[in-house]
Amino acid sequence: MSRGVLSRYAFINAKLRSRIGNMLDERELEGLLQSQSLEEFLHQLKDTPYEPMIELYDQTADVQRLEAWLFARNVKLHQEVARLMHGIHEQVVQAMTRKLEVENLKGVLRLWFSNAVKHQNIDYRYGYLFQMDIVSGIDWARIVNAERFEDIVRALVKTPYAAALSAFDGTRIAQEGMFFLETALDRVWTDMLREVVQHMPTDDRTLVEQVLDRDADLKNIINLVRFGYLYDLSSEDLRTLMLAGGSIVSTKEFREYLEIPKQQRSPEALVSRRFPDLAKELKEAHTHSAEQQTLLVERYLFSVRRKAFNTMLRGYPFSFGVILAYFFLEERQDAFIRTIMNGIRYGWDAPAIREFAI
Amino acid sequence: MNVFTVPMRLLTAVVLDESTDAVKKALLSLGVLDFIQVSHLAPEQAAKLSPVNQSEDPQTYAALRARVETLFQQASIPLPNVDRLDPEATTALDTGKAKALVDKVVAALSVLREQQKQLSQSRIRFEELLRYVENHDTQYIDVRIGNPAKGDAQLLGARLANQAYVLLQPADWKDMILLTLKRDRQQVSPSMDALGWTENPDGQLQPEALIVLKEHLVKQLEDLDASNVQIKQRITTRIQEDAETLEQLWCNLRLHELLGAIANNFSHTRNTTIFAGWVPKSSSDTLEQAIRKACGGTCVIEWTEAGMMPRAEIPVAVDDMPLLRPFQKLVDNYSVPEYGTINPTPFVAISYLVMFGLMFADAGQGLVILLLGLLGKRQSARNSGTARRMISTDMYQLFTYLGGASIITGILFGSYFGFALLPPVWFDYHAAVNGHDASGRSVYSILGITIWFGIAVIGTGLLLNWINLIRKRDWFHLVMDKNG
Repeated sequence: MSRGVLSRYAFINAKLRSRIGNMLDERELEGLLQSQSLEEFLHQLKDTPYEPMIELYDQTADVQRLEAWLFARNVKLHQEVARLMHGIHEQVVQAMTRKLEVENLKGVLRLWFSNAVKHQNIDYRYGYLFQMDIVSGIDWARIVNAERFEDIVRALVKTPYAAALSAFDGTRIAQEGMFFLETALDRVWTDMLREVVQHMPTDDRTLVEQVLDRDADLKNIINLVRFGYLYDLSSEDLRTLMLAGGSIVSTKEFREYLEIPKQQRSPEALVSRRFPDLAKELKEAHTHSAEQQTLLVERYLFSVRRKAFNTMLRGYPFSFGVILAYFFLEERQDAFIRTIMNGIRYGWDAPAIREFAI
Repeated sequence: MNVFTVPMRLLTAVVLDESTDAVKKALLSLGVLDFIQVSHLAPEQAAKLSPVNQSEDPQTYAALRARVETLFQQASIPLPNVDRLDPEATTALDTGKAKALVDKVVAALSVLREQQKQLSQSRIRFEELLRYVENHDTQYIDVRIGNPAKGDAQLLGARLANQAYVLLQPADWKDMILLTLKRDRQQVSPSMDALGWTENPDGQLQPEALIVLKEHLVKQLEDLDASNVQIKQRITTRIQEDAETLEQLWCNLRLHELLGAIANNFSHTRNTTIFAGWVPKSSSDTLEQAIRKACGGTCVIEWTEAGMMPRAEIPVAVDDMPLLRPFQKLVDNYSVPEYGTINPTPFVAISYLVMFGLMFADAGQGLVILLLGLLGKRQSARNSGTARRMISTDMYQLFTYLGGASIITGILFGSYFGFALLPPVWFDYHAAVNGHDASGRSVYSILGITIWFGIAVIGTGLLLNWINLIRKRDWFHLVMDKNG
């Protein structure tokens, strides 16, 4: 082990592992699931990293504010980790933080679309979105208040997103909706991340590329099943949705999946080589509805991801893996909290919430 | 002070089923029995025993209690004192009624919470408007100055109810001021047209209108805060209305939960209840009397001495030594001593303090640590019962001990904040290290002290180990082991 690796990761490794140790355990999560009201749910978050939510709810009784707090916390965690890294490693963390920036940008664009294109009243909803800088300097107010789509492109001209957005125009957005614009933004941040990762030292680069390839495969499979099987998206559109990297898009099964009509598409055949266990599960669930099969695929692929990150956490400590695993676990925990919160809000019982809390 | 672990005895008792409830209460009152499952003691008899058959799972009580605690928390009501948990006062509990009571309060609160949420959303609207007004971001806002031909301010307000807006009629103005967001024009403009809004062409009024709007928005936000405080007060008041009933319910739930947990350790035959557990020898007579009293003497109680049982299965308790609690925690962090062996806490305390004193021999800095410890203890005492702190009271107690040790050794070596302000009682440590000590001591003298100290610590450790091995009658390790 080189001195450089030790000095780079010794502190961050200890810090992040200590934070991981403070995360909610399975017993605590189960307790949260059993809550019958938001107040009871929040009461259980006492003495956890989520304790500020108790005070926030007490002040506002507003679940959307709690969700906004969760997002802001996630941004802060990413920015803290970036500050603790240097050079190319800091740039990689920043590139990962762009995922949150893209999510926020999509949220603001959706509001703009509702207001400017659909002429719907967005009222106070912009107040729930993050309005400070995440990575790039973005004037969020300028976007949500834009009269035309071209004003948005101009507002983003100093960011990496302007190029992708300039491929669209107001008329196309009005006709197609936001779907293709959003997927284009997703591709921007994944491409940027891949580009930065190229400059990492070999060990870290190999590790991060493996993760990105696997994530690309999983995301592509989910998109192929969701949009090519559950919904009827054309082969050409499906092809443009695919994220770079991974092996699935270069397989024979992928080509066949795109070539055949939707009615004959089989998720089972698509994943048979890469994930035989999943193919077996799908075969057993062939009588289930397309929605259920899609959910099955998403669950399975999520468990693959979780397993890989847990392995990473148990493995060699002085690598970028601990950062990847930490972000994954935080994201998973936040998603769980968010799902339970909304489940309780809509009056679901614990088993129903568990269904969605992947 | 007993340096060994507390001697234990194993109780096995058989009582008639009708006495079970009274026995449970007696056991809970004393709180000295560490239960074990009877099936563990007599596995061959396990099939003949039936487990407890409780009407309610203790988890149900726990969940309901947590809901009551949530209500207390919202009204900043502290949990009932443990003194109120009198097992004899336990009453029958109808969980359906208890749930209904909690649901009733929660439902009343949810109405208030909904009002609070609406205030929060209004706040978001006004905050956005104020931000644009303050920053003069006029590209995002429309400031209209004029009057509607039809209707009045009330009608106009009603038309704009779903938008973020401010409508003012300043006392010294003949016109109204209307602030809306430009992005809402699609919805706002038709309403304005319908009411025949006439705009005042005087452009000079705009800057003045912005000042008036800013003042108004700041006031609006203050009013919203005040309304929010009122709602929170109503929430507290609503919970306090039922506080007494809820406190009684909490106590009853907690008692049922604890009694349920005790009952989970009971086994049953057709007419009897059997239970077993470890109890400190000093409490065994009191416990026996309490059980006999509870069941009117109709019971069989059998005691088994600890020596008859495998040592690893006997629970370990040590005498509480309040002054040594911080060191007990240090010891517990490593491991709990084996049953029947010496509790090393007093020895750890002495060696820890001597070692710290030798390493940190400075009366001035020791005084700072001592004061920090005392200050922390005072703070902890003030905040007892509130949120859990990172540094516990015991840790502050440890600071005071360590500070004291540093002061004593500092005086011995004549070091006060690194200066030799007073002559050393023993010898000048720093001078000895630098070879200038008048008493002729050198760095080797200090090395000698540390070696003797090490010999004393290791020697004490070996001695304690031999005593433990003799008490365990482990002659083989006493003679053959490397530490024997």
